[in-house]
Amino acid sequence: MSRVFAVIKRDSYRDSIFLMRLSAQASRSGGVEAVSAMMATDRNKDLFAASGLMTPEIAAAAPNDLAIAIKGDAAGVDAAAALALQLLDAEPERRKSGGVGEETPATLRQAKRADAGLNIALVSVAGDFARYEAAEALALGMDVMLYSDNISLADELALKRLADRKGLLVMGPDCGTAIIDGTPLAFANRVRKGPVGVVGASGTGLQEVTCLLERMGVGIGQAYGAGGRDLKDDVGGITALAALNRLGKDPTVEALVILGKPPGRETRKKLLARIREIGKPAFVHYLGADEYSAEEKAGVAAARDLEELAVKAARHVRPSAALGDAESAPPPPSPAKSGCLHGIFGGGTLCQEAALICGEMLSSPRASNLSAPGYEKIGGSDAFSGHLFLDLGEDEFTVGRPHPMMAPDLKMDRIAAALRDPGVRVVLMDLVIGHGSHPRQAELAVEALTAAKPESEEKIVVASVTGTDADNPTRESQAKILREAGVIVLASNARAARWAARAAMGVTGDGDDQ
Amino acid sequence: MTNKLQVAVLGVDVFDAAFAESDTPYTRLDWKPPAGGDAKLVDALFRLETECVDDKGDSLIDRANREAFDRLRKGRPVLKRVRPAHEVIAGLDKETILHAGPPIAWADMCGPMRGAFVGAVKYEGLAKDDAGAETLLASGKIKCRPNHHHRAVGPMTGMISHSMPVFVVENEPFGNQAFCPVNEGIGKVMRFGANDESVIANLRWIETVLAPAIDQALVDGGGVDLKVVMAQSLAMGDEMHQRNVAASLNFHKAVAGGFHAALSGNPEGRKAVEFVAGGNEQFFLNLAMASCKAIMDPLRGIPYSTVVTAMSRNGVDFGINVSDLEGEWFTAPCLKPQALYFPGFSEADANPDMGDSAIVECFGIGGMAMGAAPAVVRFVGAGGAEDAYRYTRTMREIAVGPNPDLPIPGMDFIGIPSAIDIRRVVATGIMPVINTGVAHRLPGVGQVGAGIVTPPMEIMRRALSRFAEKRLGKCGR
Repeated sequence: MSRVFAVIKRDSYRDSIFLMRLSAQASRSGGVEAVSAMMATDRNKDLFAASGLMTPEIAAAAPNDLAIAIKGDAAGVDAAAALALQLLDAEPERRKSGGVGEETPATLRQAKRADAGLNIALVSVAGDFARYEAAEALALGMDVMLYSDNISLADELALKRLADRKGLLVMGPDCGTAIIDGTPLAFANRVRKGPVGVVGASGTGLQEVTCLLERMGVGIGQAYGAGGRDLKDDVGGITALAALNRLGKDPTVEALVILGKPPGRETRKKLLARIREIGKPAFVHYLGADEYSAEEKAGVAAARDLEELAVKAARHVRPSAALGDAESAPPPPSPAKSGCLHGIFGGGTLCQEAALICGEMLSSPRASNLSAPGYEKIGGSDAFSGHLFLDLGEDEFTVGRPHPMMAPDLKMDRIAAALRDPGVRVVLMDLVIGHGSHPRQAELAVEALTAAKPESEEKIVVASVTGTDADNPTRESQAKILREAGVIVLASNARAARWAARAAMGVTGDGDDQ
Repeated sequence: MTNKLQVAVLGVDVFDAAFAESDTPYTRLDWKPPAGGDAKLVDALFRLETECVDDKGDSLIDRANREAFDRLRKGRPVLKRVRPAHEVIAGLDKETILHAGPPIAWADMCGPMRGAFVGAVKYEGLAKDDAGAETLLASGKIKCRPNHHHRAVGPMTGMISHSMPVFVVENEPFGNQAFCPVNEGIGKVMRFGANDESVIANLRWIETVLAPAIDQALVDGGGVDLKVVMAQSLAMGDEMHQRNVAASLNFHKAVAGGFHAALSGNPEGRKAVEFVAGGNEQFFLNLAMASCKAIMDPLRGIPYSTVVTAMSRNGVDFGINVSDLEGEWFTAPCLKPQALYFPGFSEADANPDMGDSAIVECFGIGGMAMGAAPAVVRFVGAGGAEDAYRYTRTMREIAVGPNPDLPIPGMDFIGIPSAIDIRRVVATGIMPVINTGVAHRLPGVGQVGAGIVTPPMEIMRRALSRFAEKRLGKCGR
């Protein structure tokens, strides 16, 4: 049997919103049909009456009295009345108080408003969205490091043209490495500050060169990544040219280092012209370029591999600079026995460089999942008997999984497979350590070696470790683990490739030209 | 580089450790895909950002929106007169009746809107009774037109008819005028679709007693600068949509002397004063609306501007206007407000959202300035002042800028978020928050609750797509 019951609080004002909330909350308790809390004004009394909630107590109440009408069964009315009174007496809910804008920003605009000093955006979200976020960053006056890939050439161009007009930089897309003001961005190594400014259209190439410089005691001013397509004539080196401008204006930068795949004809001319305008000593290496006459005529030093590039630049800064002797090439093993060389890489540029170097020395058949002159282009999973260079960082291996530098399991599987392959004599690998990279790559490589026993004992295993002793783990500690497992560790990727090719061809004697 | 590197990080977190180790300040975003991940809209946003730029790479759209924002700030609405609508509104003959929201035909109107039209027809003496009024309306002889097409606004049903008095607000620096009827008070009123004799009598009293007195006070005193009243009232805890307590009193203060003189000896004098300063805490709402309409109209038709110049509802459809798309309405069915209901009523009784009042949110008060009025935030079921601040902080994401002319004391005096940019609405998915009253779905019952509502996202997206279609390919890279 439902009835209407009233609670009156004399001279007790509460605002109508508070009372509506109270009504709503109290009416949710069981056995209750309706709860209505209002100040007992004449108008509100009409509302009580209209909704069948009027009682003699409410009729007698004054406008400054708070009236609560509850309709329901006896138990429900009592419970709701108790709840309503409790809500009336409760202290306002205490909340964490905070300053303006304390939330984690959800957008670049919000982040920039909270902190006007933000000057670069590191973007690694999916490509469709990444291009928009990159455009936003530019609109907000920030440089962009675009780690994301899957951005069309047209969109890359749109972003770079916008950046160019605004005096900003878009590193990427698919840019894996940069070092700005001593801060490593994405895959990069800890290097000292110094006088060499680097522009690279190649991620692991940039890591290799900055690490070799560091190991020769020469520091890095800035290292800008441009993205793999920047030097094509379609893009025209917009980022590389802008980066060179910055290096030109940076008084701490004494030498310029430029590396990448061979630029388009027009872009190569523009780069050279820009280098000449800047007037600082410059060193270039374009992977796979066979002549540098224009550069050399203009006084720009050319190098034939990444190590030579680093050494030439280092010697400009410090004439005595040299890589340590500890990892100079040992004599090739005897008895000399030729066989296939399998190079298994995580770094695309390192794979490319190794393939190029070995291509001059190895007999056919040769294949790679990268495009390289003299190599048959095959899919990464195709069976092939001959010399093979695999880049596990290629798209075919990274769809739906992290880059092998972060997650080397697939790469280690391929190394183990090569070690078991009876046709293989030499296995060549890269280890790129540093920020973003898996911290136990040497250990995993040794596990692969162990797993492939006993066949692996017949193989020659050669590696280079790209990193510095400021990295964590240090380069030396990773190299030591490999050496203790019988791996030949050489000072650079180029040296490791050259030595491995000789070993695979069964060349005897001391042929190393370093 | 002269500035120390400071990084905003969007995406994978594996590279963050390097920043910590090298003492590089960085901010990791709580990122989610823009535009709800809609590929077409993201493409439009990207292209607008990269293609609509000048030689220096500065956005033509940002520039146009800054121009809009400057005009908004320059606006100075002054209440000049209270005059019969036909005297001041062009094209308002006896057979034309103005209503809230985007265009709508009699046959398509919701209950309260029909009720209000019937009331307005009777008020103008065009029909003797409801049946006569309905027959006349159905005959098509009455022209139903949106207020916004006549530089006018009205709350809820928004009726303006031939002889109804309207506030005449002039935006002095620009010289444009805006019009809004006088607030009818609470209870049974035409803005909620009521139309009986008491409603008509109340409107007649406003026409013959109240309006002439306020008009005379204005003629005496030379007009009231409503921007000053709005700024003062904002500082006193009003957001001027849901809450106009301070604003109504501040307005009365501004005209008190002249008002008193005009009513001197009039037996209705006491009632008139109480109507403005006593019984009706929402009196100022109509003045806030006229002010915001006067301020927003000069922002119409700025090439490349993506600023919303009007948000408005007719009880069926929600419509918006966008500066560069002047002359086009983008409409979709209204959403029902998220509201608290008066005793005895529930969401089942609620009419869909209605009224021109969301013009105040276009300017940056109302729901946009919730942080100035923590008392109001409880309508939305949230608890404390911090929630009110959060609303306003969130609204800053979609506004062209904070407007320092109307600072919010409780939020360290940041300005109200002024001028809504549809690009930002679409990109962030954050909708403008509108504080609103809720009408009963049947004519004449009146207000049944209050709460917040947003425009349907669809119209923001459609407007952006239309803008992209208009401007892309013409901006030249």
